[in-house]
This record gives sequence, structure tokens and C-alpha cells, in this order.
Amino acid sequence: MATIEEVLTPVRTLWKFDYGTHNKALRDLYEVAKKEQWNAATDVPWDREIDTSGDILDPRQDMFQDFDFVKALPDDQRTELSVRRAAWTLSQFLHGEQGALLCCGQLVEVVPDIDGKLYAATQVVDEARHVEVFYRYIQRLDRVYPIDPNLQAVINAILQADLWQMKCVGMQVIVEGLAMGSFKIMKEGTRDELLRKIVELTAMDEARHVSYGLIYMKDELPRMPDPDRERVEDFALMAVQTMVNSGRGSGGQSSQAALFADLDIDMAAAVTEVQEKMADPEFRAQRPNAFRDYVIPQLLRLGIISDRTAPQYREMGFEV
Amino acid sequence: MRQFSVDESLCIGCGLCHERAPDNVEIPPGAAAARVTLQPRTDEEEEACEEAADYCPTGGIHEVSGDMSASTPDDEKSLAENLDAAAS
Repeated sequence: MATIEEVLTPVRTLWKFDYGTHNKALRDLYEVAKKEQWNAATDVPWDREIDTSGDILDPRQDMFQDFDFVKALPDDQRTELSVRRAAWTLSQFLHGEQGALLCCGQLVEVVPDIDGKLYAATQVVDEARHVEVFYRYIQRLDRVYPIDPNLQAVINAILQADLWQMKCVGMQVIVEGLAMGSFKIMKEGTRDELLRKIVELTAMDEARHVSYGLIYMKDELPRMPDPDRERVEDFALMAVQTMVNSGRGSGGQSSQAALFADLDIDMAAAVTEVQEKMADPEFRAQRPNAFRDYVIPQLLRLGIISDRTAPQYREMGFEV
Repeated sequence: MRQFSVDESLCIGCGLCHERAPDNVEIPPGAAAARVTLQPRTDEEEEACEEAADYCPTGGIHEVSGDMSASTPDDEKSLAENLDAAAS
């Protein structure tokens, strides 16, 4: 994996010389963010050993455990796969946190008012802390796996978006909402106390990040000219489609190939089984789904899922 | 006056709702989710609860139809008991 990649972005940086508060809800959130800072080096019980004897991920979240090709593995290999699978999943959150760090740095520049800039600055620090904490945990667990290409495509699209409202919806509502919901699921299901503490702390930060997107976009979207608002709707649809399809076997599964190295797995049969199961609505419905529970409802509340785009969300299986 | 409730299955206990509506929404000690402990009695409280609902990151606070006031004394009692327990 290349350790550095370049993305060219059309950022239109805005100074703001009116330093007064114009959005009280955002300013209040900024005050909360200052109070709720924590230190990844000292507020996490790093002296605890990682418990790999049980489920690191919530069994409902780690769909691999239900697959025949996994059930057929000897116990030691199944445990090894479980650890690798957890490291792969957490690696995606690690990369996502770096993506959020980059996007939020842009938000400081591109949002048009001082309340939004000040809050975004606190989020930059939050994201730095998340990068630190997940990297440290993954190193102890296994190793950092490469970013899923679909996740990277969505984050690059957010970084390259020309409208700041696209960045705000893409990162704050969709990506952060997905992370917040996923961490809630992870907290409820992990048997590892160290990971539970990490995702508990991180989810509190993610909640503020989503709230920022809701506060900003509730006022902003109705003010936008129709063509621009439609572009935001289309952008949100693209982001959701890309990430949902990734989870259903397009790109996402192939990027997990490294997990299977040295294990007695028939790769062709495994890929077929993954794709068949993930295409099955009943199989998917049995699992917690952060998109369904936390992202789609917020897009609906903001009016970003319109009559024009709703059919494509229904095609993905969402009730909109 | 409008009435509100928290869907505890969605709530992650971030406490942002309490920041917005401190007189009406609490996370009782030891609880994982927020609760509407007192339905709004004034326009200011109603506005605060509406903000808490609009900006709840989980979408877990909803306006409810019907009179929820009957549940309010129990909720208040429960909160008071929890606070007492925490204090002791």
C-alpha cells in the first residue's frame, strides 16, 4: 500500500470578519465540544490486554461467522480469521477517521460563518484523536489493512466536492452517522473491554459531528437554489449507493482478500457465498444496520431524499 | 403544548439533548439512554425540546401525540430516586 496519495481539491477558502454569534445552536455545540475533549493517551485503559478469546466484533456485525466457508475452518483458524476480520473492519474506521480529519480541515476553510468554523476546528482535534486511538488498538490486535476502494472513493468525492453543503452532508450526516451507529452496535456486542471503551468515547464525539451536520443543513438546504439542492441530493445518493454496494460484495469483499491468506479457504467458493448471502434481503434484515437506522432517517428529515431520488433508495432496500 | 419522547433503542446517551433542554431531558444516573423527565410547560421549554429533537444525532427524540403528562410524575419520581441513589 502506498503510504501517501495525492488528491487535488477545489477548495474555496472563506475568511469571515464578523466574529459574532449568528447560529446559537452551532455555538452551543462548540461549547459542548470544548468541554467533552478526552485524551487518547491517558483516558483509555491501555494496560488492559485485548481479549481475543471471544468476539471482538459484535457477532451480528461480523457476518462472516454465519458463512459455511468460515464454519468449516478448524477452531484456531476461525479465531485467527475473527481477529483479522476485526482488524480489517477497524482499519476501515481508522482510514475513515483520517478522511474525516482531512474533510473537516476543509470545513474550517469553506463554511461561510464563524460559528461553523469554530466548531469544525474542534472536530479536527476529535478526528486526530480517533486516528491515534484506532491505530494504537489495531497495532496491538493485528495490523492495518488497506482502505476499501469504495470508502476511499466516497471520501475523495467529499474532498473534491465544490459545494460546501455536499461536504457537510457527505461527511457529517452520512459518514459520521454511519460511524456513530456502527460504534453503538460495536459497543453493545464486543467482548473486549478495551475496544468497548474506545468506541464508547468515540461515539460521543461522532454524535456531535452528526449534530453539526443537522444544525447546519436544516437551515441551509431550504435556502439553496433548486439546481444546487438537487446536486446535494444526487451527491448523497451516490455516497450511500457506493458504500451500501461495497458492503454487498462490490469492491468491499475483494479488499478483504488479504484476510484469507494462509487459511484453508476456497476463495472462489467464499466469494460466491458472500455475494449470494449479501444479496439476500432476509439475511441483511437480520443484522443491525447503521445505514437503515441512523443515516437514512436523517437524510429523510433533512429532505435530502426527495421524490426524485427516493426510488433509488428503495432499490437498495430502504423504506423511504 | 407539544409532548416528546425518547426512543431508547436508538439513543446512544451522548447527552446533547440535555444540553439543549436541561429542564426536560436527562440521562438518569446509570442509564444508557436519555429520558424526557418533564414535558414542556412553557414556550421556551417547548422550543428547547423541539431543538433537542431536531438536532438529536440519532433521530431518537420524537414528538408524540396525545397527553403524556400522566407519565410525568412517575418519570420525575424515577429521576429523583436515581439522583438519590447516586448521591448515596
